[in-house]
Amino acid sequence: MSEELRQLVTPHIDSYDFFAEKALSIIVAGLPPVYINNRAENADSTQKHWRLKFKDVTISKPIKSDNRQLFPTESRQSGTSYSAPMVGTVALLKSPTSDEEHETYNVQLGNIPVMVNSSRCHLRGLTSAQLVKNHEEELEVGGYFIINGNEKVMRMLVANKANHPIALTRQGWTNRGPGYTKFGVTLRSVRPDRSSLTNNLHYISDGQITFRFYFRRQEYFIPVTLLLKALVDTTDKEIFTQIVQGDFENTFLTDRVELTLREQKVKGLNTKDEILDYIGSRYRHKANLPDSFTNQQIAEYMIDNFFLVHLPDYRDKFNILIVMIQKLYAVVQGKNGCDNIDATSFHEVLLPERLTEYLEVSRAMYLKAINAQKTINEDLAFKKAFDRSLNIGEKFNYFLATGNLVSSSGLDLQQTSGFAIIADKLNFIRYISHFRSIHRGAFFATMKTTSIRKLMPESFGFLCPVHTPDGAPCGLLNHLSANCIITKDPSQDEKSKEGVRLLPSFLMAHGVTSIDVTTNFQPNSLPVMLNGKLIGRINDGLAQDLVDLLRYLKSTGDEKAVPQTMEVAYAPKEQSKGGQYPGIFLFTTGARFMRTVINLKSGKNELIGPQEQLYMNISIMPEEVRDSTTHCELSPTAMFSVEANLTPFSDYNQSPRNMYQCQMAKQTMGTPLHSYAYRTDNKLYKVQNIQRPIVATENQSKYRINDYPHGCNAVIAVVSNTGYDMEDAMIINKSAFERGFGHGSVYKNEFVDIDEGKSRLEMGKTSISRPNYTSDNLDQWIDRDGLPYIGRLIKPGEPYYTVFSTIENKQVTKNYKGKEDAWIEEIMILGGSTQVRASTMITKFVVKLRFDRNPVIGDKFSSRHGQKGVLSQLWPEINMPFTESGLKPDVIINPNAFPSRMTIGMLVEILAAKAGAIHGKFQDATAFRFNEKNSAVEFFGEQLKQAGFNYYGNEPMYSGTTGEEFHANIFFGICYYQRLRHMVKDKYQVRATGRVNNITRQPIKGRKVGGGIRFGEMERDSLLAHGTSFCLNDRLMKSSDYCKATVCKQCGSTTSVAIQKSNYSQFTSSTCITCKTDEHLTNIALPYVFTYLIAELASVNISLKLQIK
Amino acid sequence: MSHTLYRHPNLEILEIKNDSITFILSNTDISVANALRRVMIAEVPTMCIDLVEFEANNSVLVDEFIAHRLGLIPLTSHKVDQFNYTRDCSCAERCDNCSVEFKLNARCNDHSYSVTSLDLLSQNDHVIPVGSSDGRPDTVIPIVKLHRGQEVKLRAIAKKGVGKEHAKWSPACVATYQFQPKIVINQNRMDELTDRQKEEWVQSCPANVYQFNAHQRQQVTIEDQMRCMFCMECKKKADSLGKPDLVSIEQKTDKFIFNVETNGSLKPEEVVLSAIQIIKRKLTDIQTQLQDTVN
Repeated sequence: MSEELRQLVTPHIDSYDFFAEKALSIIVAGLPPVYINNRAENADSTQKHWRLKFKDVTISKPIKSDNRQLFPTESRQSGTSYSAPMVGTVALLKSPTSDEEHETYNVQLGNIPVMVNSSRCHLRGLTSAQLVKNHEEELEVGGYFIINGNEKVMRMLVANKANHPIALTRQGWTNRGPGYTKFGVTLRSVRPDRSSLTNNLHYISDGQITFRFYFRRQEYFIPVTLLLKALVDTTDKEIFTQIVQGDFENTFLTDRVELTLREQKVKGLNTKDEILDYIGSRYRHKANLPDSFTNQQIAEYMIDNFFLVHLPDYRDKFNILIVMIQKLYAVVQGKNGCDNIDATSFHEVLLPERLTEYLEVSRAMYLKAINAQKTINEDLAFKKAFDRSLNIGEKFNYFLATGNLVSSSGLDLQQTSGFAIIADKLNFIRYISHFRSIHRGAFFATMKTTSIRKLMPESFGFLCPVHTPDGAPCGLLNHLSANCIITKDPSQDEKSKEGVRLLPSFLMAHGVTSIDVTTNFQPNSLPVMLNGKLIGRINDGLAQDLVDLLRYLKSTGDEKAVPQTMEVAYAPKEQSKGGQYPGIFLFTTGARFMRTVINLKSGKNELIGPQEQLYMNISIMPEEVRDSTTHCELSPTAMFSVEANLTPFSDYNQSPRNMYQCQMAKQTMGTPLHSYAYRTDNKLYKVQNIQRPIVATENQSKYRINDYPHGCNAVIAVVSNTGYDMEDAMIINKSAFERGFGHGSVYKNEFVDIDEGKSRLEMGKTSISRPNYTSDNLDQWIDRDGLPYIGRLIKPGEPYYTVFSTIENKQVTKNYKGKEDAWIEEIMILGGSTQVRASTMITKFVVKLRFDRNPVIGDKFSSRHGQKGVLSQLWPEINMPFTESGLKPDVIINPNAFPSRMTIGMLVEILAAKAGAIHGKFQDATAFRFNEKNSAVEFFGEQLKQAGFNYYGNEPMYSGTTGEEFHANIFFGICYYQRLRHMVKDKYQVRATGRVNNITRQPIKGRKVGGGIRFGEMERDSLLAHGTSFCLNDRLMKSSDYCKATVCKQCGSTTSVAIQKSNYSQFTSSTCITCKTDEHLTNIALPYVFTYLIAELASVNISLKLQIK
Repeated sequence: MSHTLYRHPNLEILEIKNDSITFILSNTDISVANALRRVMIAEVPTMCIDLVEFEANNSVLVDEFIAHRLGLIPLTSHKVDQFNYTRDCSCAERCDNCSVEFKLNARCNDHSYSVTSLDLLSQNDHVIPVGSSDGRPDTVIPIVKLHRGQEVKLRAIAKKGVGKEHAKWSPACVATYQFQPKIVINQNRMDELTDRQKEEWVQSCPANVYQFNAHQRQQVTIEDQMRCMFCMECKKKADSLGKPDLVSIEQKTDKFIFNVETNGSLKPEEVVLSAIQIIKRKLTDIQTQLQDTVN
């Protein structure tokens, strides 16, 4: 197994491990209980409401029904899910508060999908040899689920940074109520189990602030001072001094705080208890808690579960609320600017661990279970109810299979679909990119503004600037840079856990004044926050030194209190005017972006986060270090994703070409895997003769791409030769093709289930069999057992297999329905796991078909520089131009492909590969290795010259047809060519006659159903412009819905013509009903759809008349 | 070019090796030289496997891939003239006069086994895979590697064909010619250059055509003008030195240096002779047909 590859999928695996090992128990403990009315007559008042609660839930390892280990390959091949049983215990507690158990129930919660290579997977820790033994790839790294045989990846999504107050302006907030302004502070509060809730502060034009939260998908507002007073026993004075923090000169602030305190006062309520009682009474109805709860308990329930949930302690909640208020006033006043919520600095990642939140469905399950029976005293019914309805595994399966979220709370997410994607094994590059892709969220895809799609400087080093698709998802679907890591949750990392514990006292020792000591600070003090909790404040002058110290210790790792994955985001006061709200914000939470740079002070590697990067001074090259520089990048290519880093000499290309190459590499027919024999994917591509590129970047071997090559080194001439190379077409040497250039095949797996679509009675009565083998004359196609021969070429319409039905006592031959010749590679018989059958009865099987896909004219090829082209002609070798040494190109492309696209990298690649081929060495093409002083052309030119070639790669060439020398020397060398998956065989469309639409009688659309190609408006326009009316008539009527209609010239109607069939002869007679005669009737030619229009109009009482001359 | 009318083409062999030949064709036109080149590549017949019937194959390579590889194995075709093209043969499907049958029956009982051209057993001793007669491990051609329990069993039919139809039948790996260069150094101009400039100028040629003898009278001489590939780098260099007439390079378009390499199916001289024969036959055909029409 490759450590580098494993690193790429680590965020997924860590996250799943967190889910299975840590979060599951946390969320189970935190799941709100279900209260049941105890209807037993002898119940006293404290026992009126019983409580139903999960005690614990565990996930084991995947097993089969016979308790043997289930391995991923078995799930893949049989089209089932790779999942492990989840078991839980539910406790029935005798009162709403006490923990006295009445009874516990063991419940089977169904099979939970298991991520491959996670701690719950059998493959974890296996060596390459063991993996191969288990029919896996040698380099299998996991990180995905297997759902119904498909490999599914949970898509990483961008979320707002956890537990950090972000100041925003949103025009939409103005219509939240009277006086509401666009100003607000939002905070995404993340619980220890990594489920989250977003809280907001809103600024009202008169200076008040209200607190907004979501509860059961509804918004609620609370005056912020009321909330402050509900959290701790406090006074107006304390609130005032805390918010103003000694800055009494600032009348803007003092006025507004005073006003807020005055205006938000509810009559007669002063103490914490009174206010809690008041809040509780407001939410009693909504909270849906048992009647025995007091108002205070209800209010506490609301505070615990919906207000700033990352901090369980009320004093902490109070403190951060104060900071949020301060920040909001500072922004409204204009002292600080708004934060940019679209910038990576305020982002983190949503990971598969959010599966946990999905456990909330279990709550609904309880309710269902309870509703199923009326009284609590019927134990048996109770147990039965659990057995029936607690299949959470099924929900998870559905979630991963479709990517759709079914949730009552919305889980603080902005979308309900698109959470899971298929990890397409088209080629290895595409496959591995799935694990690095990160989406901004479906909600943003619908936004018309393009600002969110912009490449922000804040994302430097974390998100790849090159690797994003063009078109609709541009800028929304990004990819992590190769060096970017996603932090683990502190609970998974002992060092980080220890650090969080020790850090506060470390900070106190280094200049931070604890909030526990005093609440009165200097006006110029900065808040110091750790994971969204106010630790204390620090004097402005001391902050920089503390931050430098923390960063130094972070890089050395010597200090236990400073974990290496801590982010030290320091927004200095001197840069805060109109900028970020000043403070030191420390984060040790999971799911943050981090990347490695060199700390120049310690000379060691340091992990930095996007929020701290903003104020850091990092040089890209070591020679660029200045006095103020504190850090240095590991390499200038560190900003690229794995895939963008594979483009050779990408620094020489025009930037969009590198983007196109990222797209195109993902469409190449390459090597997706080596275990073809053990896969039943719907479609797999394979290229026969693949090579390792002569010219490649460092990452090519680092990320083991050479183990999965996706092209071949082709001899290329850049010349305009025959005319068959115009407009991005390319000529391929026919002999090169015959020797195997670009040869490939496609594998398709056809699942056949004989019982599919049959009624229950008929099921299991039909199976593969060929009892009539002596008489049916099918020996040529079908074997004795009723299945086709392995290795046979099967053609459309030929007999495929035979089945025998015991009901009809008849042998039926099924024909091959495919439209393409195929080889039968393999037949796998699937056993039914649900029904017990005699082992000889075959009802379900998979046929692996192999299709020949050698290049044909029209197939697509591309180099690695966004230069795609179609094969236009297989040109005979003797007609190909040749060099003096007798070399003939495999590929000819037109020089016009270069000037406008400026893919100089491709020219350099050709040069480098030519030199590499002569000298017998692989060339390094990593970006930014060459510069003006040390140019690539010089480097490779010298190599060429040494070998007796022209310095610039040009060679005199002779025409293959006339034998004469060309007037110009031709640029000639070697270029790595990829074959793209777009093939004529999948796309050609042809039709003479065929199915028509029932209503219009026009040809139907769609290639699959033999439809036509639309002759649309623009095509019509061009025929009109050419004045080719006959041609127009031919296309739009004769070849489409030509029909003959009878019309009455007198009344001009087609609908009034009645056709009568004579009773005594075969002839029909027509008459016009309105004119009562047939003498004006005449036949005209019409498009049939016109008669339909007449009928439609007639239905709304409009008569359409034709004037016939 | 009136004198070309009465030219007598001349062929002078410079070198013959086991698999390559170099000769000079002179006193003729480009078209003739190119015709010879084209015929050597595309129309010299050889024998190649063209039809494969698989009986068993559970190796990792698929049938058509193995068949393709078998086709590309060069077969010794010195007796190719004794065979008919199958399409011209009088037999119904195929016979020994138009084809050669091969058998391959390999099974791996050890850990692994490489099936090579040695396993390809021919029915005709004259038509065998190239390199299999001397049995040297470096000259055999690998076909497929087998694992324990895997087996390949097949029957392959080799037929006569030409490279025009499929590249496998082409005996010539390389068949190329170049014009003989005529390089004249203007020694008067050369003397105007400093030693350093002379050195630079000599270095400018990537093919090392020139030689600068620093010890012998500072003379620039032509070491081997055949090396010249007409890249005109020396001309460009001369221009940049301000001496455009320092050297003149001309192509002698009636003298061609041919270089032919074969894949071993035929000897290089056989390829050339066969090609000339084919051109002759084609011309004779035209002649007879023309005469027939005229008469």
